[in-house]
Amino acid sequence: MTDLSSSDADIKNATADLALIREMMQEGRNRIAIDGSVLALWGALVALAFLGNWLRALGFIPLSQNTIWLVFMGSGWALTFIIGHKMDRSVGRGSPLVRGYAAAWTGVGLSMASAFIAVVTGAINLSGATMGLLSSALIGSAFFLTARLFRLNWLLVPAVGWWAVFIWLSHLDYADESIFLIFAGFSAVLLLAPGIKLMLDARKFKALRD
Amino acid sequence: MAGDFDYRNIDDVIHSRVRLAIMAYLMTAKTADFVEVKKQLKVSDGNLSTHLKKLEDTGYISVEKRFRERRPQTLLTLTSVGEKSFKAYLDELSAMVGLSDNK
Repeated sequence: MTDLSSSDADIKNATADLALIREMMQEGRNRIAIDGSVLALWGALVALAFLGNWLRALGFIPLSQNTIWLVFMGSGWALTFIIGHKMDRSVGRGSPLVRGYAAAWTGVGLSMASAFIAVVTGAINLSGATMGLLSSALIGSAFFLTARLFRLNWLLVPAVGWWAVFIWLSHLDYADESIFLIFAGFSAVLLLAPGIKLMLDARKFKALRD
Repeated sequence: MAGDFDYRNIDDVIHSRVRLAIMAYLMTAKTADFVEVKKQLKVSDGNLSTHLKKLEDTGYISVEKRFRERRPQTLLTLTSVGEKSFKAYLDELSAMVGLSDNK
């Protein structure tokens, strides 16, 4: 007589099936959870701040470098809170991947804000080049983490791009005011553009869902 | 308990690796397009179509063909029947490995 009760092999298969289910459900949950609006916002603001600093260096804007950064960073944080509050969290909520993504980028933002506050208040003396090195290393790492977490290999391009900026900057002996313009370009290409692509992808998936 | 598992309750339509993966993906994604699911599952067009047909015939998913920006698009959506069946399948599977309390 055939034994139809669950055997060890059945249990092994069922365990493998449950693992597959878990993985696929996670993939489905995560695919639209990543929204690049905050990245695009910061990419645009940082690019504008660098442009502002370039114009200041040329004598067109009668404001200090710190004031320009303060205006853009203040606006950035305020708008980040507004976007975060309005963001659709119906998909991906509670996912460790989404929490990892949010934590990585919040970490970058808080690190840069802390460094900026420390410089403005005179607690430490960091040069523009050091700030550039710090930000490019942090942003590159956050892109790398995001790419690996969500298996979005194209995000490795901005990750490597920021690390290339880090290497280039660490070997730079001299910089004039055009460095601001160059960094505005880096911010537009390596932060704003990936943010816009992520936004467009998220919209596409949202359109599918609706 | 693993001994409480009843093989007769296992849903044969869902009980295939590819269909199981499709159902699991749609459980959270709700709606996805053909290309996206194909990419996730790493299967051929023909293989995926065969499995989708079976799920559609059983009423577990709905398949809608439309044009988006002048490109043909096949949308797959989990139906309420599909969702209910998938949950029941999950319960059976959990019972089999002794994860369920109410079995």
